[in-house]
Amino acid sequence: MNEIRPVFSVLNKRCNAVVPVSQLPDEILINIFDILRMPDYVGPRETWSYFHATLSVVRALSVCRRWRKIVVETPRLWERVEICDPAYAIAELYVERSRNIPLIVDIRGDWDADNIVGAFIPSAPRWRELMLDCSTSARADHLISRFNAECDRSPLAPLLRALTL
Amino acid sequence: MVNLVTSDNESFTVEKAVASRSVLIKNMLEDVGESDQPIPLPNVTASVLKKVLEYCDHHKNEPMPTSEDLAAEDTRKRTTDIGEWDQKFIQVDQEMLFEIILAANYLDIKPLLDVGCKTVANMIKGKTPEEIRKLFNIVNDFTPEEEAQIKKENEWAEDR
Repeated sequence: MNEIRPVFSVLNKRCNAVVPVSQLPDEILINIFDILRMPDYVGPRETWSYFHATLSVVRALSVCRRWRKIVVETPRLWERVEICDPAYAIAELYVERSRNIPLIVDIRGDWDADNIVGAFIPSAPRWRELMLDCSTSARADHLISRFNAECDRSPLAPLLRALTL
Repeated sequence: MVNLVTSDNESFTVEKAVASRSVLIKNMLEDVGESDQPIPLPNVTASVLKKVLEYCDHHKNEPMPTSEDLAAEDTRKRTTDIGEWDQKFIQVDQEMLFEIILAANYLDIKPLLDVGCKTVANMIKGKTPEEIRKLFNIVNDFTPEEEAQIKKENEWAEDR
């Protein structure tokens, strides 16, 4: 059975190549995925959050191999990395997919400063906006002191235009 | 008047203001100057061009999108709404919808391309991957290993 599975995958890929939506070239699908991240496309504006935008992208990449390849290889669809639960490995993956574009980093919930530093510091030169939500000031202090330690003498985030605490 | 010839060899004679909604045709007309020569459109069939021209005719008196409009779009300032007439116009079957999008892309009619893409986005929004597959007749072509990887990557999002 295990030997047959890849064959099914190839056959299914061929079936997908002939459905009408497959006529659309990559750049048009990217345009559509980009629209899906906009506020009006992910529910009422007042309840909208970037989580919903990320969810739209995540759902699109789960549809088929072609869509996954397009989404994973389009950095602008990963411009915002939100970490809410301790999903540091996922955050690192999203940061990697954003390649070299300016990033919006949103850190919320029950996070650990040392893990946050590990997941996000390598991308600090690309941070455009940083949002930091935390329940205790001690935790924020620890994170900021870790950021400062990493900073050394060079500016940590030269592109940073907005910091929200 | 401008004479357009489709891939299936049908001729359409339309006002210059209508044909010029297409930046491709507008540039062609500017390049060749006054001429009776038909303009071949080898990537568009008659049934699709008829529909595209209906759109161009309805919007012929509107100002063409400027470079500022296009820049605003890049910074996501554009509205996501589709006008009432455009909504009715784009109520077509999937095959025609994708043909219109392809023709708008080829003919360089940016507002029509936008309407088409927003319509597809509207069809997808809020749907699960399985519902999206059903909508477009896409089959799940992931190997079990890829599927496991996707599940692992996505569970943080779907669990919330």
